[in-house]
Order: sequence, then structure tokens, then C-alpha cells
Amino acid sequence: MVQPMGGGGNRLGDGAVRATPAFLPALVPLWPQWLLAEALSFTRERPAPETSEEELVARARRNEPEALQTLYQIHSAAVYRRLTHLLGADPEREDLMQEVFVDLFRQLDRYRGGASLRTYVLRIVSHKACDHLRQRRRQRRVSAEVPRFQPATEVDASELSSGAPSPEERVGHAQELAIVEEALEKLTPKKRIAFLLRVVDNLSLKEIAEQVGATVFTVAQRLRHADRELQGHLARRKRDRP
Amino acid sequence: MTFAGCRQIEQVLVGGAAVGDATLGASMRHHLQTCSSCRRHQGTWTLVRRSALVANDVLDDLTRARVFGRVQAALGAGATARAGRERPGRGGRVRFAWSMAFAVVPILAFVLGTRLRHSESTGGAATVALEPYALHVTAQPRLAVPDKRLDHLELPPYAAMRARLGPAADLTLAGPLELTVRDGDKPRVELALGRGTLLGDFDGSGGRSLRISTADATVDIVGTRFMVVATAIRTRVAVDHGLVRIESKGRVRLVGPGLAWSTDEEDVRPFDAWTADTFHRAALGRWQDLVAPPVPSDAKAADRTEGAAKERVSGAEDTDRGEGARPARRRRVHVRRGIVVAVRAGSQAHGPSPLTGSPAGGAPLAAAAMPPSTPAPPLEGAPPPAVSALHPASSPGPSVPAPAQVQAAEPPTQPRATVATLYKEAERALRRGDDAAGKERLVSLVRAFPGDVMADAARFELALLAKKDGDAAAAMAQIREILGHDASGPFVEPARFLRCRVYLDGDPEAAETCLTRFVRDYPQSPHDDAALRALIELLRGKGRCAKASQLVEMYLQRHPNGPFAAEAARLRSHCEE
Repeated sequence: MVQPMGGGGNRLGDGAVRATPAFLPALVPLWPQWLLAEALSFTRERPAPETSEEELVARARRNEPEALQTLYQIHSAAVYRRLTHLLGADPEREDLMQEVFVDLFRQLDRYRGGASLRTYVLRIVSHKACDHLRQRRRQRRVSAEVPRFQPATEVDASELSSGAPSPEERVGHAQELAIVEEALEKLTPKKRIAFLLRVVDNLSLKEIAEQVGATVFTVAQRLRHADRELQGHLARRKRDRP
Repeated sequence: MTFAGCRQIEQVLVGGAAVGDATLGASMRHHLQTCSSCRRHQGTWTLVRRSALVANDVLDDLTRARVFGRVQAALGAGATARAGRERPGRGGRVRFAWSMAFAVVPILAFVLGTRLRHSESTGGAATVALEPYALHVTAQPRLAVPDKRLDHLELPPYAAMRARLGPAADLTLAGPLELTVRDGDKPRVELALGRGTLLGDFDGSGGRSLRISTADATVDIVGTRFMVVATAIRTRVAVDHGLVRIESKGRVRLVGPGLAWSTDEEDVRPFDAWTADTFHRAALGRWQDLVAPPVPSDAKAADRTEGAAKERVSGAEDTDRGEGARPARRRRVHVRRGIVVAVRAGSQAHGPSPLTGSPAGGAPLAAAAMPPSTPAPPLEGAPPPAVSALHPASSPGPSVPAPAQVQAAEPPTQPRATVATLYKEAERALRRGDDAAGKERLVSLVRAFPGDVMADAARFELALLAKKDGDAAAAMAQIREILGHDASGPFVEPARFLRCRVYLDGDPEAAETCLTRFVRDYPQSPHDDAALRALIELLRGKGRCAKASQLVEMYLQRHPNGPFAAEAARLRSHCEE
């Protein structure tokens, strides 16, 4: 069943639309034939003006604003999603997303078409995320005053599981997630990224290797170490927990 | 069991990969249930997934459009900055080098000859001048810059400009500002900064040095990134990179990176958060943020004192310009009702200046006529000017400002709101559920910065809020504003889709037309899926199944794995007229 349009709100209003009108049949009156004909005419005369990726890239290299906007429209959601997976609810995601696209559009001449543009974009995302994680770690190390990024505060336990969890369960969930986030923060950026790409985005070793610019063997090593460190940290926290 | 082994088994079972052998599948499932290592791993992965997915990873329209606006701005600024120093590609470099080798001799001869003749005839005219390449006026941010070299510049409070000073210096200038280039033909170029904010990026490797003279200080720059904020009574210098030497009233200070000095203080100190933010914004190409909001057009007090202001500026021109300047060769840029005017001051030396003469349309520009002694920084968080600077007695100008004018020109005691602060305040208010306060901030932002890309973000927010409140007319008014002034801005596509959604709430005919055009114009939009679905539903509701089928085909072609694909496939095979 289709979802209702205009429902669902996030941050400041109802941003991303994923919905559809259950009430539509009731609203549809008898439309004039000409309007319908006009509305549908383009589907016969102009089948979807789909543009191939190569063509879009070529136009974007010539700095055609429409091509740049179309490329942005195609890839922005994936970039944002990937940044969120790698960094959590980091307030600098927007800035990083901006940097990713600025870099992409400036470096389009270097894109040779060997991999898909999506892979190329996500490779930039991985590098940006890695740099940002390094910076985050450094800031934390240098100054204790830097407020620690705590995604756990955003946790709404009711979203995490079905049913209605009790307040104790909610607190428990939130604590568990905070511990996991703490453990992830202790991983080096490269290990963290490899691990999250594997576990959260379900990428194969080869795909991860392509996106982080390393060999499959290196990625496998990073994953093994990340897993070991994560398990060790979680075990320690469980032991320490009263 | 190792991480990889457990992961592989889990991926096969959970990830949907087909296990050909039923016995193998059962064995894998049994292993996952019994192997303690795998169970532990699975538990960890589940937590990690939850932890990563707990943040909202769906990109909303507003963020998408806002970020694209910033991307466009960054690309535009980068392209402008690169325009003058673009290098040829690798393939053409060899040919280019040969061409250069052949061309360089006659060019050198020509340039040297011209320079010699020029200096002989004029007695050392300026060879380095301000070359503006970007101008931002809050009322009309897309204004073109005059294609001229300038040796004198005046900017009103709501204008900012980027300009090159020869090949080695790149300047960001924020009004109200008065700047004169002196000794442009000498190894040490001197800028006389009467007032205003100047951010500079100067490369002294070419052998030239740069000196900035203000009312009470002399700032020598060898090669650095720095900022000078000058008022009539003090000068504040901050250095982001490199070293700057400042001499003021017999005192000499060396200011290094991360430090700032104000001539009314004794010690050099680390610069504050506002300065760091200003450097950061300038580095990101967000130099337009330095501009103060425009003076409201209904500033009647300013209107009343227009004549006095004109006289004062005129007098200031006569007296303030330094002895080293050459009035006959001066060109001036100022902004009159949003139009950039560049004139040779020499040709109007005794006539009415563009500021003193009646502007076209007769409307006064009070802000441009602020007295030179008015404290400069209208920037957010800037150090508040001393009270004496506002007093007419401390003004070096010849005429005494009328009290009403002083009041109109008086800067606010609190830091003035910028686009960013207003928007953040609105966001905060909306997040805590205070829609009224949020709306108020957004409306203020739109009024104060109508041409800024963030104004469109604010309009979009206002439209969303109006839609949420069921006020379709208000929502449409905001959408019309977004679509009215720019046909290709980052908010056009989201606004057009929002318009369709508003129509869907009460005007299905208009909704159909709107959606039809939307799916035609934006086939790659993230909303294409939802728009097609809504259109199909509309047509089916009307009983036009055959027509809807065409759209179903289109949907399946564009979104073969979309959330509506299964139902679309069913509709295709069950079309009932």
C-alpha cells in the first residue's frame, strides 16, 4: 500500500516526503478532459527525459548548472545517509556534505569513468569522514572542554524496537547504545569506517576496499582488529557495570 | 568461529542470498543459534547497526536545498578566485611553454616600454590598483562589479566586496569602508584605511610589501592572512597566518598567528571566537556573511537628515583624503539604490559627487552617507566601539552631525544579527516547539536579507509551517516568493514539489497539473517516486485507468525497485476502466 503524502515530519517541518494520500479518491472530482489530456500529453510525446550518467558528467564538466543540480539530486541522499552511518548524528554532516559535492564538482575532470559515479562520490565521502573522525579524536584529546558528541542523547528507544518498552528497557537500550558508540569512538577512523561499511551498509570486502582506497587484505585486517577491539571494549564495560 | 565466518553465515541467511542446499541452510541456522561466538558477534552487530541508524539519515528537502545553495556559492567563489590564475592542462603545457617563450620577449619589451613612458608622463602613476571581482549587497546580492581598476573605494554598511590588489594580494572588504591605494607603483604599496574591515591574504614573495595606514596605526605586512578593523579612534589587527608589525603612537607590536592587538590596549592577545569565525568564513568563501543587513527603506529620520549627511560626506571628501592620494586620478565605487556606480572623481572634482548629487529616483541613501568617524564594524560579535567615537566632538570631519543623524547612525549595543544567527535562532525555537518565535525569526531573516540564499530557506520553512497549520494561502505565498525571483535556485525543485503537495490538500485539478509538470521537469528528483505515485492515485481515483497505466509504466521504468513497484506491477496487470 502506498504511504500517504504529506505525512511524516522530521526536523523543522515535514521535510522528506514518503507518503501518499489515502484520501485522494474522495477529493478527485470530474476533471475536464482537456486538462487530463494536457497533463498526460508529455508522457506520449516526451518519454522521460532520462539522461545517461556519462552525458550528465560531461555537461557538469562544462559547469552546466542543470547538470550539477541533477547530479546533486541523484547522489545527495546517498551521501547524507552514508555520512550519517559513518559519523552518527554529527552536527557537521551538512558541512561535510557540502565539501563532498564541492570536491566532486571540482574534481570531475579526474573522474575517468572506471567505477560508477556513485562509487566515486562515496569514496570521497569515506575520505571526508575519515578526516573528520581524525579531527574529532584530536579535538577530544587536546581539550577536555570540547563537548563530547553523544548520539545517545538523541536516542528515542521507542523507535528502536517494536512494542512498547518499559522505561527501564528504554534506559537500558540507551545505555547499551552509548557504550557501543563509545567503543566505536575508540576505534581508529580507518577501522571504524571499514567496520561500519561492513556491518551497517553490508558492503563486501571488495566494495569496501574500493571505497576506502585500500587492498582487500588490508580491509580484512582492519575488520578483524576492529571487531576484536570492539568486543574487548564491550566485555570490559560489561565487567565494570555494577 | 571467526568474525568473517560468522559474518558470512549471517549475511547468507539474513541478507537474503539464496542457499541452494536446504540442508546447508539448516546447518547454517543451527550454527548461528548454537555458536556462542557467533551469537556474541551478532549481538554486537545489532547494537552497532542500531547505534548507526539511530540518527535520522533521511535527507530532508530543506537540508538538501540549503546545502546545494552553499555548494553553488562555494563553486562560484572558487571559480571567481581561480579565474585570474587558471593554468592550462597537462596536455597543453608543452605547447603553451613554447608559445610563452616566443611571446615573452615582445611582451616584456612592450610592458617595460609602456611603464617607462607612463612613469615619465605622469610622474609615477599607480600601477597596482584595486581590481574588484565580486560584490555583495544585501539588498541585491547578485550585482555585477565594475570592470575597472580603482584607487579609491567607498562601501556602505550593507555591502562587501572582494578585490585583488595586484597579483599578490586578495582583499575582502566589508562596509562601511573607505580605502585608498597609495604608492601603487613602489615596492611598498600603501593602503589608507579610513574606516572599515579589511581581510587580506597577501603573498609577499614577489618582493613587494604592503603597508596599511589607519587613523592611529601603521601596519606592515610581509606575507600573511590578516584582518584590520579601523575606526576613527582605534585599529584592531588580527593575524591568522604569518606575522604583522604594527606601529601606533610610538608603540611597536609584532602580532603572530592566532593573535590580535587593538591600539587602545597594551598587550597582544589571542583573538576571540568572532575573529576566528570571520577568518573561517572568509576561507570557506562565505565572505558575504560579513555584510550587515541593509538599512530599512523607511528610515525616515535618515531621510530628514539627508541634506546634512550629504554635506558632511562632501566635506569629509575634501579633508579626509590623505596628502599622498591623487584626487585627479581617483575613481570611486559606491552603491546607489543597489546599483554600482564607478566614476572618475577627477572629472567631477568641483561638481556634485554621486553621493552629494540627487540619486536617481530621488530616494536617499542614509547608510552610504554615514560620517567617516562612525565606528565601523557592524559585524556579529565585533568589539563594541567606544562611546566617544559616536560623539560629534570626536569626529574629525568639518561639520557637526545633527543629533538625529547621530542617532540613526549609532550602532546597536548588542551584536547585530546575521543570516546565520537568525536562522539558528529560528531552528532552535522550532525544535523546542515554539513555532511563533521561529516564524518571527524567519520573517525577520527574510526582511533583513531578502536576496540571501538563506532567505529562500526561511521562506521554505515558513511555507512548511503554513502547510502544517492548514494555511494553504500563506504557504502558496511563500512558494511564489521562492519561485518568483529565481528560476534555477536550489529551492526551486523542493518548492515546486511542496506546491503540488499543497494543491493535493484541496485542489486535485491543480495538483494533477502541478505533479505532471513536476515529473516532467525533474525526472531525477528524489521526489519523483512520490510524485508519480500521487499522480497515478489521482488518475485512478478519477477512473482513468488507461491513462494511469502510462504513468505506471513510467514509474516501473524509473523506479524498478521503488517502494511502489510491486503495487505498480499489479496495477499494470489489473487495469479496470
